[in-house]
Amino acid sequence: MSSAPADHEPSFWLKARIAGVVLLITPDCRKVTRLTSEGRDRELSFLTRTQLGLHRCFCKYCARYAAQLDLIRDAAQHLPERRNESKQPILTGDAKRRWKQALRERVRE
Amino acid sequence: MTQPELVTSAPSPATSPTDPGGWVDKHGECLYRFALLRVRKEEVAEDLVQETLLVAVRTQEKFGGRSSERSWLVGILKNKICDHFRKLGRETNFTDSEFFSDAHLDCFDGENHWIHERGPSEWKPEGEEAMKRAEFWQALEAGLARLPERIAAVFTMREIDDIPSKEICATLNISEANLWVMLHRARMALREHLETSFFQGPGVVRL
Repeated sequence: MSSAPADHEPSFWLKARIAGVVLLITPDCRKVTRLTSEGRDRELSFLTRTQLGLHRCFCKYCARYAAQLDLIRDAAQHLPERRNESKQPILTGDAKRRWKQALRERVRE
Repeated sequence: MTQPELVTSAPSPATSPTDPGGWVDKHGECLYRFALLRVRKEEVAEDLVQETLLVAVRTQEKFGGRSSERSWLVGILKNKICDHFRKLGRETNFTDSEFFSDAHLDCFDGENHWIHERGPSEWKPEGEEAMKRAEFWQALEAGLARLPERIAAVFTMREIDDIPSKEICATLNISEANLWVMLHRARMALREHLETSFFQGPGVVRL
């Protein structure tokens, strides 16, 4: 292991080595993205959650991925209200007439 | 000699049960939008609302005014939508092979780490700000529209309607493993679509 030059920040090299080790012992990114998704639908074990958290400390892409899934969900939750904002009716008069007709027929039965 | 007293009765349903036609005017638009968001096809949405109204007419006595008229109707509609989704599975091969192709999974290198150029970029503007932009919603809608029907149904049930996994599996008669794969692919595809369509405009520097 090369020793860090005295006038450089030792923490950079240390962090790089820690990152290397962490990315070795935690699941790979492909797995992490899959587990990140699954973790939203089922409970992951404590160990798995710890590994994921650790991985994301050192992998900015996986960290972003998780945050972006959060945004997608947030947006999805707002989608119905967003859709309903447009006050223009999208239902056609034809459809309404058909329904009323069908209802009249049903009531008559 | 007693004055006839005004009897205050319990509040009756907003629309007289003998006027289901009134339901169409009062709730038709709302029911249609609810269905359309989830089934995505206009004809299907119309049919489902019609079926809902017909069921409602038949079962009015059971309504009893426990909840609002609209939420009662929406409840029936939700079941109709679930029935529709369930049938999708029987009629189509839900493992839409094109969608499941690994093309968009080539973001990982041989050691299964993100390839730098294909890794998620930093999304600017940030969440709250992004959701104020019409273009964001356009991109989201477009991304959703690209999902195969079954995948979209599952995504909708889970992320929009917040239905628990187990319930989705029971409703659609699929295994949990299947569900997780479908959701994973849906999220991955949507994320990528949002990134390329909205967050990465031309000339954006990759951070």
